Amino acid sequence: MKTNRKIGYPLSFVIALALFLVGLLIELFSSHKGIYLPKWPINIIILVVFIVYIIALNHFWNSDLKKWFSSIKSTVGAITIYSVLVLVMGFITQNDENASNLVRNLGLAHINRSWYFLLISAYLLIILGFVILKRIKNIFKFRNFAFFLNHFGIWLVIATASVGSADLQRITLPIFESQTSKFAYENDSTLIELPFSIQLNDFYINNFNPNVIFFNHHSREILNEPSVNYSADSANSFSYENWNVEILKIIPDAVMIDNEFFKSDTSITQFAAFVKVSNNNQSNNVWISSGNYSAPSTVAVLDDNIAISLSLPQEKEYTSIITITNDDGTKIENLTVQVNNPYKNLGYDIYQQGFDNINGQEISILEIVKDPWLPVVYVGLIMLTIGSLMLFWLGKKR
Amino acid sequence: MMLFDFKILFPAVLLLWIIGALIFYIFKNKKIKNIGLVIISAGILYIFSLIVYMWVNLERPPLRTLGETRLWYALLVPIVGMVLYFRWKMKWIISYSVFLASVFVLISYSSPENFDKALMPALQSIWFVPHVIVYMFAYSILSVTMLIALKGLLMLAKNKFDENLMITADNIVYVGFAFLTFGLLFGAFWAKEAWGHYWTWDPKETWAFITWLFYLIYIHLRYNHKENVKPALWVLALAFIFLLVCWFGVNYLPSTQTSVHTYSS
Repeated sequence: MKTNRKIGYPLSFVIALALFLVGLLIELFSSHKGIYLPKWPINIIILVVFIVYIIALNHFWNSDLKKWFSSIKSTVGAITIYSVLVLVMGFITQNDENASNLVRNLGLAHINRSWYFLLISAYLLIILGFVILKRIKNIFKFRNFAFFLNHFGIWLVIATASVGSADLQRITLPIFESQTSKFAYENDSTLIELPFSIQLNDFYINNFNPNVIFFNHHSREILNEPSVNYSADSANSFSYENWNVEILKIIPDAVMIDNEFFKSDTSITQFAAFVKVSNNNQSNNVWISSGNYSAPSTVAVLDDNIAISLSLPQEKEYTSIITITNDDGTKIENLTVQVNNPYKNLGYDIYQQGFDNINGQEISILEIVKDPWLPVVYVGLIMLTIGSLMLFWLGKKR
Repeated sequence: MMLFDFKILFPAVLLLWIIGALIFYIFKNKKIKNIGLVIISAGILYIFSLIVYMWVNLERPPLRTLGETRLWYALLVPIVGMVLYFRWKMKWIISYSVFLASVFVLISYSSPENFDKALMPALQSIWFVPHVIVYMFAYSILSVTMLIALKGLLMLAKNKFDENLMITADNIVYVGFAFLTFGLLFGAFWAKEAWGHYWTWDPKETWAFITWLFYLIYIHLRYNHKENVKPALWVLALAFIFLLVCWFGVNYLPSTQTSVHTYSS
């Protein structure tokens, strides 16, 4: 087959589109729930067979068409159709339970698990595979090495993240203080037994200081824009219209007793501030507070229109102190788990996901993640990082 | 501090940039041109000092809200413009980049944001600053390719196309794409630390991936095939539109209301 300039590009789109249509047909006659790839060890077998298939095809197939398949022309068509599918994913809400039947039947509500996405991805990986094998001969040239890192890196990421997704476990574990738990829910339904138990020793939340709010006490309209200037920090002072406010004292965890605020160790507290409010004629010291789910905020009325109060504080950090007991009896005591600061144990990552409050009792919500394919995916990601760095250095070949 | 009041700062920066760009544009003498550049630099320095002031005052990196990222953009775009001018002697890039940055300063001026200290726990990470700055840098660089794409399409329409324009575009795209890749990868590493998984097809992630893919298409269209000028220019323009959707648009698209990447209310 002669693959000249004229037919090269159209053919590339024709093949990718044909694959898409085949995928769409299968999708139409499938369950409309999307593909769930098989778990370990079937997925590793599929991956190995796929790799062997690409290498064998590359080795035994010698025609102009094969050459075309490892060329830039076939690549452009494949990436474009793949990109358009991702683009549709960007416009249509994914995994939407309210999606219309048409959207659902076409697989548009779960594109990354649709048959056509699978086929196009596999096609892209085959072309990528050919390209990598073509260039691998001169891998020790600097430019070819950068090429290899980028192309094999992305191959590894797409291939292993896809087949590995079947083995990904994300488990939610809500836990009360001083409670010990060994079981948790996956996808809110399946109960999973962990190879260790977790005891929550302590859970606490630190907040940012709230802002002082000036508002009209008839219309409830907020008058000042909440900003760093009005932060309820000790000794901070600011003014609104003719009123000056000075923060004399703050109590982040306060309870009210007889119209005054005191520091408290209970979990139902609010942020309170003792402030001096003054204008040209008068000066008063008053309490204001942010309120909480069981108590309203404390307001100080300044004049006929203006009153002040505190906004609800925003969370700065929430921390779980846990003790892990592995099944073999080993104990890891008083670990700190925070957002952005997970703990790794027996191949599981333990995350601080969030918290909840039921009848005044705080619940720490932990997430436990197991992703056995993570190291391989990370090899790909790191190859891409280094490859991009080299590409940045090299620029385009002239 | 008065010096950092937006009502004073933004008009001052705009004035510096307009005067600087005019001097640079009107005069032929290189020394006088350089005075124009110095005046533009003064505006850049002013924005820079504002960012430092905010960083100190807010006790957190000012990279959380769209308004804050706009300031970084207004800082980086003219810097990228200057670098490109000195590297490839592209005179037109100065006025274009200053114009682009001015638009962002004007947006910030007309819709001022409130800056508060709160930084949600998910953002408190060593990845926060590199992830966002790398992206802002990539966006600044790639905005130049948008201008090139428009210029190129205009030249094609007039049948006066200059191949050198594509060489410049290719060079800039390679640099911008490298940064885009870093942004995506840093984001993935960070997501694993903060949210438990490196990729969840969150709308912001999907749009960042779309942007990355379309620049990837451009690179492949241009690779060893100089004849693909017209489709390449269109892809370049389109890619930047997707970049803008990723940056701003995801806050408005109905398909993205469930995004975990929401930090400004």
